Amino acid sequence: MPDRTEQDMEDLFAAIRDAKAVERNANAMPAVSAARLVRYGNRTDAVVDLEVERLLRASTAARLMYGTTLGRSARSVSPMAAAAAGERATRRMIGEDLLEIIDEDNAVFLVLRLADAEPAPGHIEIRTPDGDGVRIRLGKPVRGIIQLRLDDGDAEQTRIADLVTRPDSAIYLLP
Amino acid sequence: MRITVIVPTTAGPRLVVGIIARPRLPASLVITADDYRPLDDITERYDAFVGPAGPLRRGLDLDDGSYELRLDAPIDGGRSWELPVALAHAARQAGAEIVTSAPDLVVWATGALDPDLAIRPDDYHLADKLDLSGPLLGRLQKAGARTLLLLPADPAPAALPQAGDGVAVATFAAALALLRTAMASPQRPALAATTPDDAALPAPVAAPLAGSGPRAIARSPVLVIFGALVLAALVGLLIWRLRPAPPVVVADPPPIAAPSQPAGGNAGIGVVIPDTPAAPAAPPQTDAMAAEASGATIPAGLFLQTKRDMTGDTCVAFLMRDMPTIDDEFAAGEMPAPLPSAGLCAIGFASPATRQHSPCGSIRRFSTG
Repeated sequence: MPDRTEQDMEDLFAAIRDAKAVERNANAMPAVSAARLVRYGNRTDAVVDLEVERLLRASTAARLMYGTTLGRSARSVSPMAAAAAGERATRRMIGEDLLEIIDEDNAVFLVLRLADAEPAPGHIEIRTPDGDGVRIRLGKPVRGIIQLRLDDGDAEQTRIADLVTRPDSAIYLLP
Repeated sequence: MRITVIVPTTAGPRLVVGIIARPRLPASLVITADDYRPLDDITERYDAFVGPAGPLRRGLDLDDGSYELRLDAPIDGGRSWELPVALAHAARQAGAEIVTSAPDLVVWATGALDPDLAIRPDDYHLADKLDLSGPLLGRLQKAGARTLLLLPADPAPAALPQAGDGVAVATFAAALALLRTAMASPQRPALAATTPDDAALPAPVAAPLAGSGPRAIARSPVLVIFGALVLAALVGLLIWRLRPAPPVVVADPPPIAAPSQPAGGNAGIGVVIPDTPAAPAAPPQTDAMAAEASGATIPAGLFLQTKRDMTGDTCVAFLMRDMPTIDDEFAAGEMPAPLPSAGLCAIGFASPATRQHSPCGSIRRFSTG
């Protein structure tokens, strides 16, 4: 049986270690104001702010605030897909709009069928529960259909395909 | 056969990297190799071009479903890509391999197509496009590729020194015929200086373009000529009907017309001539007869007599407005009723000689309906 004093010392060292870890984490979290976070969510382009992105991956509170901001400006939102765990969601309703992932002949296509052509969404943003995400610009709809080709060979496009088919991803269609 | 299709633009030549059938996609798209987004400016038009109601779908009898057109670099706008892209589809359909290097045949073409796949007259900036494409064409030709250079016939490109042995074409069918000739021949394609047209195409070339739709039927020369004749006849009839009404010819005086005017609308205008034997006295000379005698306005040929129906219409009232007509001829004491119903009429003819040298009464009375 360990000595009582020795046990107290171990507890003390563990507490100090945890405290230092918390301190390190707090120092690593970028100093981003709420206003900046909201502005980032409301931006009309797909330019990435790395500090905000780091904050979103580190802070649950920041993710919640950011998600609320996106939801307010989005044309339509799908917080998560009704798919069984582990499945890939290749067909998903985003509000009234339908998103499909079509895998055809060594190419993956993201296809959005819009319920209403106007106003057409300009961007799509996908966010996972752990804060990972991407925003990409959409093309002009043709007959109410927007298509994006996601090449298997391109790392970024493969990542987009992976994020958009995760059932726990939130998807926003933005101006 | 390996074919390179060049889409010349004012920013430089673009190459068709490939055309891939995408039967599961809801719409066709144009894309470049380095972007996941379709080209906004031309994707919509390409989708319409090859879509179910598009002219190329009909012209080439393309399979159902969508297509992905891949270019090596973007095209910002304009429509002159339509002809080369249509030829790329045709080459692919014929089993050729679309390549961007080491081709057997290079196709350089520019032109926007109308719904009947004729090349629209436009300013295609041919000199700029040819200048910008020169180095690429030279490189490919040095490597041994044959070149098919297709220029829009309107405006005439003859004055362009860069055009070399290019061929002016007016329709996609003509360009397609040249492409097929070039693909079939191991030699350099014979590039005629004249503009071929659909009628000049050999039957096997024209047949796939003809299809079975109404536009294809309209291409038949016989039917086109027939249609033109019918149209000309209709236009002539319309012009005839719109001409001013003929001057009213009034009897001077109508001896017995007044009491004979029927109430049913058969009276109307015209010369009322008694059907009596020739009288020794000079016959009443109407204005029309005087004009006839002078030969000023009355043409040679038959005179027409008509009887109006109860509504006042005659069979040929619209067709013979310039001719002095004689209405309601009857003999003295004979009071013909108007034709008993609407839509009926009486018509007859008399020669001018007979009428000119005879008193009015000698003109035969016509009663044929």
